[in-house]
Amino acid sequence: MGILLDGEKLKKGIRKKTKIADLLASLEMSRETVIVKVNNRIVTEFDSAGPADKIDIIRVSTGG
Amino acid sequence: MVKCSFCSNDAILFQSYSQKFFCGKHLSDLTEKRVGSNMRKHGMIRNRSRIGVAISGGKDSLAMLYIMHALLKKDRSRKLIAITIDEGIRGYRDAGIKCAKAFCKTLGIEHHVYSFKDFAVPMDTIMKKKHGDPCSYCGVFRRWILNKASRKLKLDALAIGHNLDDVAQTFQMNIMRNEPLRIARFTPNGGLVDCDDFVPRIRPLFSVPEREIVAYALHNKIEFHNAECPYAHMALRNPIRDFINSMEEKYPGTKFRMLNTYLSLLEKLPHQEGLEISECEECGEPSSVKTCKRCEMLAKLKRDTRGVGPRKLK
Repeated sequence: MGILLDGEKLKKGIRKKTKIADLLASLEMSRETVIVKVNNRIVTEFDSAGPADKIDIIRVSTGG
Repeated sequence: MVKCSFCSNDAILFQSYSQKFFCGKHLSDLTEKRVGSNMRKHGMIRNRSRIGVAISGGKDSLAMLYIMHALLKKDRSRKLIAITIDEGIRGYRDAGIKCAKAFCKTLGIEHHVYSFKDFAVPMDTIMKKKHGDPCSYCGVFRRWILNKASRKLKLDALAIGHNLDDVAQTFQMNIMRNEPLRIARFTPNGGLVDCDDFVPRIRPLFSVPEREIVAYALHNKIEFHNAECPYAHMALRNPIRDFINSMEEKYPGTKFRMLNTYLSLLEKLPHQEGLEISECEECGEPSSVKTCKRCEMLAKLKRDTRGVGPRKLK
């Protein structure tokens, strides 16, 4: 279903089941800086998501 | 799904520094316990009945208000009063204020909003003229207004939503700037100077990692404003934050070790002796120099912009 970063859809998607830690690494994001929701449920970096899942990446620190 | 280390629920967070998984309930319990313990251990509300809570509408301050409200709601001797500062950043602060107002209404907490336009100069006006580092102006004006508002509201203390990440970043920045007095001033409870005109600041979240606060706020369905300040990209804090986060990822526990170093140093740093507080010649607010930083900045802005200034000078 796609990946949202703070509500904005990213161009990048996933083609197969992927561990959240690997997804964050491919996006060059530190796990320290985000919380991830898969289908509206908060998950850890050890969980996985597939192409049909809705992935929300929420930046922890927005500055300001 | 990965399971919680303490029950059979699904985990929502992995704490790399403790190597434990937390479900929403156990993360909430831990966060609330930490905040309660910080408040007790550092005497943050001891002999204080009117407690102000500075809220921006972001996750830290709203989570702090939520937890303090839960911890103190049965205590009739204490009252929480929320304060929001409108820095005059169109398209950014408006949304935060909306969240702050709605949240206070839900919890039944008295809420006051004070604006830069009344006591300083709106940030958008300052930045139109490109006056250097926006965070310096914003920080000085915000602290000045918060102190003045706290006195006006007869607050005994003002809670600020600084979390573990903020403490680690501020500590690192002050080392790099060779500012030992600023390190000494940034304490969990009160500050460097014991002066009646300064309302003591308390930092109940100072040992809670930022990431855990976001997970806590999301789990507890706190509606917070999550957007980047349009001027934040210019801040020195950004590269410091990136550096500390990369260290934390490689060496879990880095932020807590920085906090412990800072707390140990606090005891050894110079204290208030020799620092005399009088009134600023311009505004009458407490200051250690003739003209306080806020009035110095306002004078500079007035010179540079031919007359911009606050509506209420005093």
